[in-house]
Amino acid sequence: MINIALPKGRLGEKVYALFEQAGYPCPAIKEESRKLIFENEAAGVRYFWAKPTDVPVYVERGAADIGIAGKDILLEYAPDVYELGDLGMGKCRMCVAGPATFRDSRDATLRVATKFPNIAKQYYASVSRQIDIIKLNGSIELAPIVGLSDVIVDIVETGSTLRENDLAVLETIVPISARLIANKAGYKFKYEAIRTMREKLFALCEGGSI
Amino acid sequence: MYLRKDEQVIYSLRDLYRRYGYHQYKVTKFEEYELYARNKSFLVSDKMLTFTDTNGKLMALKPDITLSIVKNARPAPGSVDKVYYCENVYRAGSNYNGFQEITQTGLECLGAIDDYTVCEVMMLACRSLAAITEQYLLQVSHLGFADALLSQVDPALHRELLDLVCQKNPAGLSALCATADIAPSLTQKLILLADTFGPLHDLLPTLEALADCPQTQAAYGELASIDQAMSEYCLTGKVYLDFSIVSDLNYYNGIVFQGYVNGLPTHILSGGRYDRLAEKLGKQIGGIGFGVYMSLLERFWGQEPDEPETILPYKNGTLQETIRAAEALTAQGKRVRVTGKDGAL
Repeated sequence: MINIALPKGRLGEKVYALFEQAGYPCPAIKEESRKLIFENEAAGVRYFWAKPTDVPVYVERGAADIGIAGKDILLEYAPDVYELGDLGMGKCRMCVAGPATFRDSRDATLRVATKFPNIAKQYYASVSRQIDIIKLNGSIELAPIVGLSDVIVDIVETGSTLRENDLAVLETIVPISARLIANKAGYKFKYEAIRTMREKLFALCEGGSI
Repeated sequence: MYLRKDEQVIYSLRDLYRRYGYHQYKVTKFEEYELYARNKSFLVSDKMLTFTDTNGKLMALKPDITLSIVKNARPAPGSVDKVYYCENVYRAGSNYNGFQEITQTGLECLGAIDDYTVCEVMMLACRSLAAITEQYLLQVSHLGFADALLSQVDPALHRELLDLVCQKNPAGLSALCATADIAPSLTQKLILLADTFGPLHDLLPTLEALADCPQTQAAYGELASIDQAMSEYCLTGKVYLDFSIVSDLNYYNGIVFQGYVNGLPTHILSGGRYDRLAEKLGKQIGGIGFGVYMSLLERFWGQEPDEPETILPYKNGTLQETIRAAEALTAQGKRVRVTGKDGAL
């Protein structure tokens, strides 16, 4: 039995459809219910939904053998897991954004609002820029508009929210997409089953790569 | 005698190591901080519990045992010192957990390390895992392969490439190699290195094809001799090849390995050949050893059933009668619990 942690939300539903197509269906998952775990013994899978940021935690600690997590979450939390491939889904970019007219003069510490303090810290360390990180949990775009920060480090998908608020992408830090991750011990003891699953998934995955 | 299962494992490991000529090594709980400060990347974590000694020296509660053993090793020329230990170390856990006391047992061989010693250590690692459960595997890697491949690329990229190999991340390796203009043939070899996993015996032919320079040929030869030795020890199916164990090349060289038992999410045993550490500590000797993280076993067997206690109310008799009754029950091997005079447990 392979335990699979899926991220709640649109991406998770898309990913489940991929698993179903690859031969790992679990019809109960589509039924309206308060159940948390869905199992198909014949297909050898057990699914559960988790908050996207929690998926790597379930996988790292072995509660799930594999999971699907965004590259943003893997970069931010650096869990000790295997990253077995890029599903090419949920594509977006981790960017520095700010007022379109903003120019970093480097004469003062740069105030950076973000949900991803580790990614921001690493990026600015790589360009030798001193920053003041302001950790926020949502509505990051608001920060430069009300003067809380100079710039933000956040995920940009289409850029429409930025444009509507007179903000623009200033730098792209790293492209983001959904990754197949595995627990290190689970991968070894369920090697054949996980490898087969990985091959089947990526055979169907347009734009994905292993 | 009643012993919890994890305590039984500690006793059986001690017995196992003694049978192969290893002597117990006792260490003090703390050491000068400078030893660890100079070798931070050898440690699991660079955070340490420090304090100032009465003479003003900065000390640290031991985060590691190997460094102390290597520092004090003085094997006679041509011989090997073999020691085992069971000690507590103090390491920082995650941000939420702060420092933790971890029980670790393990062994170290220092001196003129030969192929027999390497194979014996690998065998003892396997049998240490078998003392916990028969559902185990020992994954082995040889740093000679990673070293040879990395020598062909810019040293600035080494850390990032090793991290990707450690994550078994083929997509990440392809992307980084493309950005860094690394030759496609080398990229393919790095991906193969990351992706390789399977019984050592079965993968030796594939590995032989990868061994295309004197360094990798020597590494292949060492792995082949380990496979042969494991067959002698009847442990062939337990040793797996996996190059994703990445250790600091400044300290480790040659064979590195990790042990997993089915039911634990992380490796419980970790070890390898560390001649470069000995060299950094000014010793012209070889070293190999491993540690078993006993604290991980706390929950491995779940709640162990305990023999029920016989409750003996004190109020039912005089002091003398109660003592006699309690002694009679314990003499029969029973557990007895005398309740208070008011009947409270």
